[in-house]
Amino acid sequence: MARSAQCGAAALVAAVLLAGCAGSAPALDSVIERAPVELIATPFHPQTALQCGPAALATALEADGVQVSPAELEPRLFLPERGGSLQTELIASTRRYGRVPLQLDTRMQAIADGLASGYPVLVLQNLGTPWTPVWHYAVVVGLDPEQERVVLRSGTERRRFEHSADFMRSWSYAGRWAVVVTDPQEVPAFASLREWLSAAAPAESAGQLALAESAYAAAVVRWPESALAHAALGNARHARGEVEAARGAWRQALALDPDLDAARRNLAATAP
Amino acid sequence: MHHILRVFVIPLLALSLGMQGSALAGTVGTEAMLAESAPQSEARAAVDAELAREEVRSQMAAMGVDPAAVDARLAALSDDEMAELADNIESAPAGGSVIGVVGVVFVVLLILEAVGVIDVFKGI
Repeated sequence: MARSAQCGAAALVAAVLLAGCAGSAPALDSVIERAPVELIATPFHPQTALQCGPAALATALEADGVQVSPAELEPRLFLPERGGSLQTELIASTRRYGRVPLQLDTRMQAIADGLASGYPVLVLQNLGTPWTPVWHYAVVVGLDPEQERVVLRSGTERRRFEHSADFMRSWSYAGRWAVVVTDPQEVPAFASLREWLSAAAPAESAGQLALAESAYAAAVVRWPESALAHAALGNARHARGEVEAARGAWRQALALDPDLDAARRNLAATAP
Repeated sequence: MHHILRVFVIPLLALSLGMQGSALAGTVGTEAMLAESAPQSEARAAVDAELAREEVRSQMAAMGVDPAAVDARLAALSDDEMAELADNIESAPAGGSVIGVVGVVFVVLLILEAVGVIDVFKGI
């Protein structure tokens, strides 16, 4: 008991220090260059009990045209003993429903860019402290730099307003994890080549080959000069058993970048 | 049980996967291509993935996941994701709700909420 009391006291001291820091968070308009935006058409699935993961993912999937209920997602996501859902399984489940889980970089600007292109942004927050974490998934649907506020579909609130400093703190305590759910054939304007390929690549070894192939085909259209995109397309075709088509894509990759070892190695390994 | 697994099952598994892997001999998938580390052999990777799969399977069952749902959940994961979960399924952030917070932590959070540092009990 004495020990836990000590821990509690330590956490309190830490919290007082944190309170000092919270006031120094930068203003929203200094970290993003955007006018106010709110995606009011984003659906809402209120959370029941410990199910913020299924609720938030259902919201993001439905916003991209996939009809699925939190109840349907729950058995795919929830870990009863942990009292919640893991990021890895949210990502994997997104692919199962035929969508690319595009992970954004860690800048607030990335969330602003996602919203500006019409994508609600799935985030992980830590509503507690780094030492006493309370993990929570929510969906950012709006940013208002003038009012210094972030609008979220969160828990049982359709429109939850958080002061941008509070949001940035809870988001930062959770590693600034932010994901948009996209159609594999539509590479968002703000996506980088590497972000896009990284989001689709796990689909290969998870056996979601149609998803991988269409995401890579879209990458080749968007970045026709990228050897990586062509090589990835070759990999997906190879995994689907289309060896000749795969070899064509790998040759194209090598023509663009003769130093791309993966393409060279795969061509050699499949030589007739 | 684990001893038996190590002595008999793993070598057999390695052998059968090694043979199966020869069909895809030496190709590099996109996850490995983007990782930019030296790709390991397909047979070795297949054994690692299989071990990780069994680890995650038993962890999920122990954590109360319906056994009927476990296979579908494993099937959705990539090799890298499987390895990640085998490592961190007990420690990775599990987004849930403050309802799951108990004891001293609960009291600390309650005090922080009262003094306005955090905003955890509203609206979840």
